[in-house]
Amino acid sequence: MNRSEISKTFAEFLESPYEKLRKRKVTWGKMMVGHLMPGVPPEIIHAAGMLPVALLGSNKPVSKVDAHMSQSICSLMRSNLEVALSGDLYFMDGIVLNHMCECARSMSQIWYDVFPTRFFDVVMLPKKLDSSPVVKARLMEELSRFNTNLEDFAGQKISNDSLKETISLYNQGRDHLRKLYAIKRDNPQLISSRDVFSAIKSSVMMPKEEHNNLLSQLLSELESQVGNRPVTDNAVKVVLVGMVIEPLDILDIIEEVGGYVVGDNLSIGSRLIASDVRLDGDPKEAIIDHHLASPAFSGYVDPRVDSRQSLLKLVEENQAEGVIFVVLFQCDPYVYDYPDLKTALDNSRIPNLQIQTDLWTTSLMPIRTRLQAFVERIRGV
Amino acid sequence: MRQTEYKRIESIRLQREIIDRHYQSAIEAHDKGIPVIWTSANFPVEIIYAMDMIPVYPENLAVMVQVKGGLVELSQIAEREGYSCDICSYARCNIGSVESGISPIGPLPSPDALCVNTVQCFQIMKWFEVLSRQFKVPYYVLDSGFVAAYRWDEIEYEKWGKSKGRRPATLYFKRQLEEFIALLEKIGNRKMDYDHLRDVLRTANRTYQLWFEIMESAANIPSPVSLFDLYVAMSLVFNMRGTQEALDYYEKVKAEIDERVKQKIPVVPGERLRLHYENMPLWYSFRKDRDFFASYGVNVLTNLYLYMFVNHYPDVSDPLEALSTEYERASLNIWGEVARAKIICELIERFSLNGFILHNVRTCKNSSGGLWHIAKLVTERTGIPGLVFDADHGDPRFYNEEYVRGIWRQYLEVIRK
Repeated sequence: MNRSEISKTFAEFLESPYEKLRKRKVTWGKMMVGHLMPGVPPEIIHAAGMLPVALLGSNKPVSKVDAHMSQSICSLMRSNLEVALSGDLYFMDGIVLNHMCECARSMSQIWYDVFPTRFFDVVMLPKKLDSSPVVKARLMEELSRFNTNLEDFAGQKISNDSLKETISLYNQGRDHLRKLYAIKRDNPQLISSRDVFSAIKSSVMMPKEEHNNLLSQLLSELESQVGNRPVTDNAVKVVLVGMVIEPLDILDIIEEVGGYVVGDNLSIGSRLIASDVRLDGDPKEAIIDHHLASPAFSGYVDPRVDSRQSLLKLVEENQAEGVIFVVLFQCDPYVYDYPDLKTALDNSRIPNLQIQTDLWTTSLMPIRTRLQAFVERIRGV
Repeated sequence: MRQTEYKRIESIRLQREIIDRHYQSAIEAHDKGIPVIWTSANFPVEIIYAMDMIPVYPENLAVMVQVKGGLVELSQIAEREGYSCDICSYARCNIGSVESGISPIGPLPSPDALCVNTVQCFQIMKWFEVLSRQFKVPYYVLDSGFVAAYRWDEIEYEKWGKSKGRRPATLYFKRQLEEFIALLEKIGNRKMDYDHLRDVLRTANRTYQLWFEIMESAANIPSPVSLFDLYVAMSLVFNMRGTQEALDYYEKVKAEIDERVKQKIPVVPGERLRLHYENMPLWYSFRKDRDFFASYGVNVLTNLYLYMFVNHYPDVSDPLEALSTEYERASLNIWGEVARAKIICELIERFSLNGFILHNVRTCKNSSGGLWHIAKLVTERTGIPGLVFDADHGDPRFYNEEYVRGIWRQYLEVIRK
């Protein structure tokens, strides 16, 4: 496949991921397990011989979930439950949730009652990220418990060798995505921000082997073009802050109004690919160390890191000219962080803008107007 | 509407004076070299008292402000700083006060350390993180994990409402308590006296027991007490469990209630309907709501919020083990939405209730995220219709009196028939 076909494959998959997976299941023969992220380690599910599928809701409006959940819950979690209530997940063999935030906690409490699956688990990771033996011991206890539960369900042991193989496969995927991101950052005209983020988003839902293969083809074509085309782009470099960017149309708008993304700290973004899981030693310990070393999702408290300094560093390293907070309505962790982060940016005279959306936001004109004004302000127009 | 005749429990009002004294001692603490620890509702405060330090609860201070009608001014200060009006009203109230130095209830005693228990919600963890940046003092997160059972048939309770939970991680909890004690020892420059901690636990144990018995007294027909009394009386088991003042207070309250039971004195004369009410009250409309229900002969009796404080320490030889076991089984840590529905069904039977009203607290996701599901489950099991209404515990801008009173009236008509 050429690059446009590959990007189209990712985009089309994301238009109806659950329908496509359901169809695959018929011939594929493997069990599929939906899971929340960040937090649930997909490597363990994969090493148990199943397909881990991140639950990322859908961009369709909701109708059924209001009979169960409050509208004060974010659209990502409401949409996840809506997808389940609509019957679109009935092909899933298992569901693994976690309490990464208040909305996820709320959803997980009623999930099993409205959508019982053969396998159901809630992985409780500590809400604090520090490297103390107390936290590490708890992480090992919980991941071992989850591992055993999954083995019982799968009817097979997860050997250290198979877990390492999976980690290697996932590291390869992260490496591909980092390269893709770097190509975009350094050669903005070669590929659109939307295509880059579609590749990242689809990577947590599609079979990893297949996704890696597509990424590999995409990279070889793009790498052959790097340097062939002069970098004349004078678009404004921006950094995105938040958990997810939804809907992805916002990325199109950012480019249409003269900006492009050079960095981010999104969970379905750079946080996902920031570093690899080491392959030496005990693989579960390696997953734990990776969890503790990865840039923290805002739903955790990390006393080791000043989130304001981390953001300023992200901006500086990418020579970004502005920061866009992309926050889902009712996403508490970011809502609490925003004022202090904004103050830090203001004090460093870094232009910044907050936009709030729901997964199913369709009226994008006001967002376009604000983004356009933001980019023009940076350009000094 | 009939004339209101609500007959409150007189001894309950003594809490105000005790709380005022407590906060006055917190304000004077720094002059005496006593550390002040800001903490959250379900934190094992027994440890702080055993270290002879003074706990201060921003949540409780926020309630005091909201009852006085001071929330909007402070919230708007927080909102101008960029905090969304969607976050917890308690948090906005406190952050606005800290940012501006404005406090309608007197000066705030500044903290030497901050600590929260994640059991009650994650918002408080983020709220205190904001405070830790502001005050630049140590911040300890006690991570409870969440051990709720998710399946109706797996949920079993002791009479206190406690269950074994799904998978307690008690060792993790205990290790964290050791870390926290080490932090306090460093701040206070002295060691924990574990015999003193055992004494505090014994006192707290008796306090919890009295509190449970007081809640249970509402099962009498007619009831000598209402939820509105209990909300007020809760402040001491919330703030000062483990102290002699709190124990003495509940003994007085219990004695007055026992006397009422003996003489069959109802809190709502002519009690005709008995209700469960879920979540926090409308603090800014507290007395009006109390009188509204009483005027219809309706007694509101039960609420799961109050079950946060029913620990039992039958054996305090290993006090950290006792604390870990009980706090890990705190109601908020073991009751998911399904368990809440199941226990409401039990309360309906045990307290002879006619209906249930669920308050969808706009800015409290943890208590309100799944209320519609709870209502559905309870109605399916009991046949009793429930009501979910939208408002907020602290922010009157999210409260429409005409709408709320209207649907309350309609609901009362429905269950009366």
